[in-house]
Amino acid sequence: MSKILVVDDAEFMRMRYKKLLSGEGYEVLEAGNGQEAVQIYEKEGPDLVLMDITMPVMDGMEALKELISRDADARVIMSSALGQERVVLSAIKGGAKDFLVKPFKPDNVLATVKKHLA
Amino acid sequence: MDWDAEGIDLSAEERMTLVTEAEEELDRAEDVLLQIEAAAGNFGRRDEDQERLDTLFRSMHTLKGNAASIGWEGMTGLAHAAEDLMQGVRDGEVPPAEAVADVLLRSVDVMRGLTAAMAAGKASPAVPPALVEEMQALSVPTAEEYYAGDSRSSTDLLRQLEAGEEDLDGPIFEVKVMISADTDIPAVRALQVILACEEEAAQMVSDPAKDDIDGGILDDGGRVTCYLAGIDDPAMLQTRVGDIEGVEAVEINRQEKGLPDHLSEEEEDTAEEDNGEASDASLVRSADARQIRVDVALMDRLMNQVVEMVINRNRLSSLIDTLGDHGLADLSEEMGATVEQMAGITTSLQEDIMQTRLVPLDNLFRRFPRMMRNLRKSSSKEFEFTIDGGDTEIDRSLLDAIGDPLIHILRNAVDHGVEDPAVREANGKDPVAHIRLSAFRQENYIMVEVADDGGGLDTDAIAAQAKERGLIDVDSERRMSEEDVLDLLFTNGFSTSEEVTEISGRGVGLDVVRRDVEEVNGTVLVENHPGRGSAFRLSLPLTVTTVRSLLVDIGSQVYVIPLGSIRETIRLEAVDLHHTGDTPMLPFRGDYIPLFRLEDFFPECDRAASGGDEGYIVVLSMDRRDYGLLVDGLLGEEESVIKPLRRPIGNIPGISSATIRPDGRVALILDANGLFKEMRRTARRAVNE
Repeated sequence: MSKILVVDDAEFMRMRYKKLLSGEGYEVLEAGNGQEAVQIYEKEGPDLVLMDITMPVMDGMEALKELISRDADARVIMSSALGQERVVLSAIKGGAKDFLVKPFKPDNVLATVKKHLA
Repeated sequence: MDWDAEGIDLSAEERMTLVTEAEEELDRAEDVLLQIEAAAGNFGRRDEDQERLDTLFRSMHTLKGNAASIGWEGMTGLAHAAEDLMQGVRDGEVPPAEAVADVLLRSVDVMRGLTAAMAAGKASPAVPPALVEEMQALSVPTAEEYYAGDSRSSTDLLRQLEAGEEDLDGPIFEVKVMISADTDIPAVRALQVILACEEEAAQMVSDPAKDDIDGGILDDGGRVTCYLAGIDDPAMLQTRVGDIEGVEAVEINRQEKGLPDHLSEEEEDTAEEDNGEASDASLVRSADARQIRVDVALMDRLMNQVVEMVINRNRLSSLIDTLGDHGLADLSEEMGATVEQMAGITTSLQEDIMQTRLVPLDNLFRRFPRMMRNLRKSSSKEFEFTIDGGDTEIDRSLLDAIGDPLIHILRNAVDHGVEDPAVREANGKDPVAHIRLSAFRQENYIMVEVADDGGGLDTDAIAAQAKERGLIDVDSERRMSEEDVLDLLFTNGFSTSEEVTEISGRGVGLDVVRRDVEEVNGTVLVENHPGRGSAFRLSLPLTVTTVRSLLVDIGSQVYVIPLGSIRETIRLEAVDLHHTGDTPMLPFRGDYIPLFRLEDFFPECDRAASGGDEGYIVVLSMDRRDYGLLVDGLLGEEESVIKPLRRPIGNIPGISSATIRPDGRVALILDANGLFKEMRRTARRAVNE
């Protein structure tokens, strides 16, 4: 079973992701900011990371940089809101594998996750 | 799953999280907004201000994200507009002026309304479009960034490729891709195509070039063309590019050509940091995995169950005592030991659960700065408002119970307590008044006080008003002490305001405040310093479910008196009563205090049997005055479970609630304050007749 780390400061978003992904049989780990994400990544070695951009303590861009510097093959999917195009561009340039745009569309999330775990 | 009026499909847990998180973000946002407003144009100059602006932006961002994820439209639109505005402020493009704070505060109010409707599963109230427009007007228009790279012909690209490095053999692949206009951020999809090609090929050039993609939108109808050299696995290239979301058509053409000498120099393109998202400074909140959220309803059920357990524990203890009477002393002793252990566990369970129900008063208090700000704006009064002791913890249900009373008292402080600035100045006072909300623990009570340094309460005006309203007559006025007069404030139908103002309104008076507070076994006390101000003090029990108490019997009835209101118990034979007036007086600590009998005002209750020296006097304290109550016997102390008296019995002055005795019978819990007031009222009536 693949392990997915969901990183979002909004508990509600994590809850929605978790419900969707565990329903598909994935093991879901959660982090509330980039710093937690890096710690959990090192400890649990998830197969995929769904990373929000705007977060306290350590934002998604910084966390992405940290993850890629630790694990060049880290599979990180950025989750962004509309209006964050430029950030997503630099995330992709910085090694993010893909991105998802909020609002959260379940089919989209699952398709993207499956694609990258295939 | 339940469907609400919005057609939004959420489980109860999801709804609770959504609502709680929204409330938290709104509280946090409001906090910062009030600081911006208070700084009056000086906000944003310090580092911590920048952090606060980041926080504010993030709050709006989270609200929008959560709302959008479930199609909660009104909230999404409003939070989005607020987020855009905040982004401008955070990035220094829009000054954090009062007007910005003001429109955002009004938006926060509307969002609170939306959240409340969501919590109740009701349809969202309409969002005033003007509010969104107002925010948009203040926002800096974000110029849509179009990809502006010059469209290059394939010949140009090939020439570029040919102008590249030397000595590369093999075919050149032309990859032509169409990006759907419907996909999210087409430019990023184009970038993904280019990056995939880059990884598969030893060398490549593209149109648009990677560097030229820096906005969200692609022109040229979403076409991306790449020329690649040094491809190992063309099938893999096809798959990778084809798998990218939003890629509508992929065309890969193999062109047998001699490879150019060297390729373009555009390759060394490091992923530079695009600081569209500034690195966020730390925020107070960190997800603490050792804490969980629990539904308040569940907490209430737990508490009720523990309370039932306490009742049964008490009953069991008393049953075991009777075993001895049946010649089963050994069994009684053994069971007694077990029950005692169980009792200990029950007690600590009860204490722990009570502990979990405690929340800091700040949860309530943080609503008030905003309210007071609004009052300041809408009145002619000038005042500062401070809060102390917000970290004092209180039972959650009390928090709910004192919300409205505090709002009322705070409004009164502004409306009636504080004088106009001109009047204050004329009286040699600072024109800016001070209203202070404070809380602290005093023994087994939590004290919550609203104090102002205004003109104090005018007892003559109060008495006159009460007469006018027919609440008292001239005779009774003469006999009233200052405290009695102040007590009139809490009488139904009394209002000191000569004019009805928007702030205090009319109809709901301090009588409702008192009723609300007494309903949770608290008391309201007013302290008056004419010319210097007044204070309203709520004294609230630490817990709402049990009370340490003394059991007494009067006639054949058992009554329960909370230990908190007892000063002392005295054997009747040990005192020398003075029978000068209608009420016998008891010498107590160098003073004389009245001695009452319960039947004095509950004529239908059992009379205390002790006429002579047999009985006891329980000295009770009412606020700061004492009186004695005659009882037949003292039965001991216990932790009494409080069972509120509801309709049809309802509110009886002098009786706060009831408890269930170990033998299963009901005993009434006396309310020392209420009793005293009732006694005096009866006494006044008796004199009048």
